Amino acid sequence: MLHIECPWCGFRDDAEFHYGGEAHITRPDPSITLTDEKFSEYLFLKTNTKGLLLERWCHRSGCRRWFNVLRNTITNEILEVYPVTETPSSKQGKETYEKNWRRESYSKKTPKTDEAK
Amino acid sequence: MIGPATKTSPLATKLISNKGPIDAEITLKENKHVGKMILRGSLSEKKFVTSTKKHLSQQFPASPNSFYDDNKVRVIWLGPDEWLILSDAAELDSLKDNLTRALIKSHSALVDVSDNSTIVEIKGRYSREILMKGCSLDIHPSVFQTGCSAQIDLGLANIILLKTADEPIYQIIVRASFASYLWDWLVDAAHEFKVRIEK
Amino acid sequence: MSSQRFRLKEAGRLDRNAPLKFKFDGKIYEGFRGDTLASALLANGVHLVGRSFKYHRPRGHLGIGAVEANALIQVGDGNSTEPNVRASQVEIYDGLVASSQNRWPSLLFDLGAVNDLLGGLIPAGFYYKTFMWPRKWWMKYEYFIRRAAGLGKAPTGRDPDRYEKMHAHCDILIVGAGPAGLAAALAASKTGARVIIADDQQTFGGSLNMDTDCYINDKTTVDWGKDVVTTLEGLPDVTMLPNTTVSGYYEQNYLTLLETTKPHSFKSTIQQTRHRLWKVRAKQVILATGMIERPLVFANNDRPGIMLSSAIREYINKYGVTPGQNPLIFTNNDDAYRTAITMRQHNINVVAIVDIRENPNSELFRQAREMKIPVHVGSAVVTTKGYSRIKSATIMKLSSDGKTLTGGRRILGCDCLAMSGGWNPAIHLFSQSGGKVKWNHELATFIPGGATQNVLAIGGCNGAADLAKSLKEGLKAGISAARLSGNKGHPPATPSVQEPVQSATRFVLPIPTQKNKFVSEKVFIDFQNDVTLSDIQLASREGYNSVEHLKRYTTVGMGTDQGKTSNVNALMLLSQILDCEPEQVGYTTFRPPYAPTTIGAYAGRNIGNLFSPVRTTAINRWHEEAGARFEHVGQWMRAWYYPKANETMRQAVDREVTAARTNIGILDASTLGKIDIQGPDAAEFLNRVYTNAWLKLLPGTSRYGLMLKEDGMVMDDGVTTCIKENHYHMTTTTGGAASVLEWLEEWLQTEWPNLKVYLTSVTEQWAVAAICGPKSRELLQELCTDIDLSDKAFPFMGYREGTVAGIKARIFRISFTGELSFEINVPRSYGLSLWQKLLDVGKKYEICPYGTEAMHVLRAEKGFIIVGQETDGTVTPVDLGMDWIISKTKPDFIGKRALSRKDIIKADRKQLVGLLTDNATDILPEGSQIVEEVLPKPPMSMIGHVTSSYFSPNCGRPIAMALIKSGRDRMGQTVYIPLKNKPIAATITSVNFLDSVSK
Repeated sequence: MLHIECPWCGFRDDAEFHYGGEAHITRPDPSITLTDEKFSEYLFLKTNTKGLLLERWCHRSGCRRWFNVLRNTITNEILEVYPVTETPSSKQGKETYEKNWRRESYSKKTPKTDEAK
Repeated sequence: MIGPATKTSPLATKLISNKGPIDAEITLKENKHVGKMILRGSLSEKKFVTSTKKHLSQQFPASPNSFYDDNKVRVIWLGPDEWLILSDAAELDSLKDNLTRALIKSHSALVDVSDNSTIVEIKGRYSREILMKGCSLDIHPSVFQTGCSAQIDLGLANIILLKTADEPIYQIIVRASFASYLWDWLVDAAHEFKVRIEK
Repeated sequence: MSSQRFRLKEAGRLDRNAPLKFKFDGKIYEGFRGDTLASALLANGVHLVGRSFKYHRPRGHLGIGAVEANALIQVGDGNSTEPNVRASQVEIYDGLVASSQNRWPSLLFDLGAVNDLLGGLIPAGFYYKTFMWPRKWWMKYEYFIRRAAGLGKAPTGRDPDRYEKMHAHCDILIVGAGPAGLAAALAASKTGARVIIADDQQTFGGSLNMDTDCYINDKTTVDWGKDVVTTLEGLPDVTMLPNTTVSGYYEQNYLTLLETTKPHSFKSTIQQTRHRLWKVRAKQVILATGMIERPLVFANNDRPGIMLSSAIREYINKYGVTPGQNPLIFTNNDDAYRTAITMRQHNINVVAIVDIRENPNSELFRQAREMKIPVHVGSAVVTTKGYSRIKSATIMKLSSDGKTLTGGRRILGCDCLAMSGGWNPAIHLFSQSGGKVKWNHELATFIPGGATQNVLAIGGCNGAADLAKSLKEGLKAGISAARLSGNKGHPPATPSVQEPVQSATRFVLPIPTQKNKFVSEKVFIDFQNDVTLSDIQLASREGYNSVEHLKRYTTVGMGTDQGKTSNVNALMLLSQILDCEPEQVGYTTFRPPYAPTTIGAYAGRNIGNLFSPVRTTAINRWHEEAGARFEHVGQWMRAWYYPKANETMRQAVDREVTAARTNIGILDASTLGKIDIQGPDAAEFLNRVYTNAWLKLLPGTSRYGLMLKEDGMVMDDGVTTCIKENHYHMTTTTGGAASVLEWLEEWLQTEWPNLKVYLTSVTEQWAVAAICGPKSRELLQELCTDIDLSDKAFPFMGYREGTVAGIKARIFRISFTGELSFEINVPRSYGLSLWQKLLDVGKKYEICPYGTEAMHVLRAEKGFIIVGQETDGTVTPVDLGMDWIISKTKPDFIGKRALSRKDIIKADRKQLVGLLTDNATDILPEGSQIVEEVLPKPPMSMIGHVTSSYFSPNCGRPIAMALIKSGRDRMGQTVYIPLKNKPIAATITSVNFLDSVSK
């Protein structure tokens, strides 16, 4: 049972929270025409991180607020908790944020096989 | 002819009469028909705070995970922009109207939730032990002191827990449809103690 | 009744004035209050208590407490019975019933023992290698294998016992109440820290109760321990949990503890709690779990009567019982001398000490010689004899490298053998916490290395072999953990300790076996799983050289024992075979629970009526009194139908459905989710979360909306009403209430934080009575005089506030049935009153209460969908034929972009259609698969499935809804539903049955 620090209610058991998956995924601007492929990246592709991950949690049984967490998926250690509308401020949080391809296009980071050739 | 409308509390069927010994170690009762409303608004908006102070209570707002009693109302913190106000049911409408008028220019909301939940009071020397059977919060008196509140799960129901006095007395605000379950859960959890139920 | 022949006159911490009777395998024995089943059986000379797992070899007590690997017992009778309990962990009480396991027909004569003779034929992996042909027979083989290798039996009926849970928080959780644990508790408690100290024994003290040859501050160890316990008992913030096994260590210092509460010895009117599962969140954890003695590895080392040396000492000093009158001691270290000396002090005839070491030279050695105990140095026990109990041991000299045997054989008669092969710290919990373990050469074992949580390992658990060091580490850890958890204080003075000094250990593993034998003798490594030395060697020869593979192939370290006595021996053997250091071999992962935990403890009180909350409406009492049948909708209990005397369900539902279309029906619709939405951006918000347009909804009017997930699939639906400017009342499905609110909050808080909107759940603020049918307006008119209810003044999809039956009400003119309908909302506390008044006044209109089944039929007659019935998370509004609800002009709404993905606009998606069976008496089962062509047998290619199906009294025939591939292009076509007995033919139609069929 993880002990998660809700920014408002303090440390509580993870059973009180709702997991919201990876944080900082940019929803495509609806006014921009988007190919099916690009849209599907946003909709379906998730990173399966081993190590530090920025993720969203909601204190469902408590204050009902969403917030972001920097968690090590190997040890379950939680290194930072920060508001959902902000970016991380710890060194490791910043590094993880910078490394995160989700804020860019997946196709840019990993070119298709024929493009790579 | 139609008779007058009558009110029924969520635990009416559980509370037919007083039951159990006077020297009970645990006493359970329902505080029925307490007026309740949700107040929403932003503390960063000065007008919202001053109007609320003026028309609700000078002590407003309550700090996180706490409540206070003032001017015949009880203000319970629920979230950074959310409070639950308890008052006498008869006075709730006028309180709400006054506040609504005062907050007309603020981005705020007032919602009557008097019947959305009910209040169960548990008191007696083993109250804390009973709550510990189903609540993962640290409610040791040194931590969860008089004036503390928490939104938390008790058993399989979501509740608002209030420590209302230095003695082992707690109030549990529970949603109306879960009240019956919660009551049964409390009675079950108290099975090894002498329990009294007050109508 | 047998007398307690092996009970010592003195010694032990038992209540000798309280004799108790218990039954083992049908025979009555006597013990004392304070005995465990193991100590009481030993007092009566009962060593044979079980049969081994695979070879069915006779087995006796090996260890004590949680370290017992052999003596697994079935305790209790009837549905209270519990299998696989360690005899050493059962506190006896008057009338206790216990029996041995894994034997047939009896413990002494067990037919399964034939496996022992065939032992050479069933090596590791035997079952996997042999029974794989023919492949499909595995299931049959497995049945017999499992029966032969069974442990105890689970009860078949409902468990009559009570199990509780307890949540607790503390500054410091101390695991183990031996010298180190008690010292830590003492130091920590003086600072005022909140301490929980747990020990799996009924009496605190651990080795203090065993090592009676030591003194602390000139007091006996037992007295020192008692004093500390008394001090701790007087402190309000120290929780002491005896009989409590710390079974799991999880993230962020979350630990689970299984407390076995007092046995059923005292009669009481209240149901006794059997186990209590504690869930503890500790700021700091101190592991003082001590050490586990290691068996020696020699031929026939598993006979009843062969026990761990320290266990024997503990049985003597704690329970006043000796496991034998003529014991032989076999050791590689000094500690076993203490057992020999203790026994000698109790006038027990110690046959000899067989010491692997060539030159033991310590105070204890000299003391043993002074007491005239024969000591055979540089020697080893090479085999043993005896069936139900050891009778003799053969000893020989060891070569100086320990690899061969020299000299002649000598046979020593004995009735008990105490073996000591060194010590392993009980690092299970430390390993579970995520801590790394490291190899210690001196102790030849793994000890705790770097911690990853707030945990300290002290005393024996940290490799400390002596009492003084344990006490010192305990005091230091107690104070440092107290300080780390925010308390202040100084450590108490370190006590003076008198204890024997011990010299080094000589590790010889395994003891060589005699060569001149026709049948090789079994050398056991893992007693519980019957893993032998040759199994380990074979596994390595076959290439299972990784420790994880070794474990799985041979089963060493598995089962309820989890390798407490076997793991380190197995690893050392593997490292010898591979010729590398044990740390290169590595360590298998320890998994919780440390000791078996009953399922009942995990369930706790979440059983019966507390299994899941049953949510009820304000009108529930009326439904119950009216004889309603109920159905569960999520956690809600809803009235399903109201049968009158002798009515079948079908008759009752037909009556209710007909009444709702001819007179008035009344439904308790209170369970619908309700959300109060306020704020200047409320309309914009609705516009983004629903698929249709919401910006122009006027106060006093309502609109139906569909919500999609971002993938374009239907998530929920409902009617939302504009109460007044910037104030809306949203309804959701009953099951979706909580998730929709969460969903909306998620978008508001994370995606659109700039929108000024506040959401509040008001689901239970309002009780809802929906009246429906042609006469509903007349009825409402009688009870509501302050609203003009005429169609013109209060049109369809209108909303008004007024007074109904003297109660302030919100009235919505919306309909889920296609009939004239009003949904009357009043504060929940008035719900029952409103309902009763509507029924009283409605009598003259023949008002008929209807339940959820009739509601389903009524809406299906009109082709209205139910989210969760017609949809399953793979259905778009287009699939449902609801294109009309998708705005083409809005710039954005959740799910908009997904609706134009090419997979979503494919023509062959499943589409919602009506189905009319060709035979007007056939009612299709919901969920049935649909095919174009019926083949003699499956597989047939399926084109869809039935989502809803009812008999419709208003259509006079069965109706059904179905999702069928390209369904809308198949109007009028015949499809088939292949049921078990016969296929049913049906025609594809529109879903609005009432208008299409009845016209």
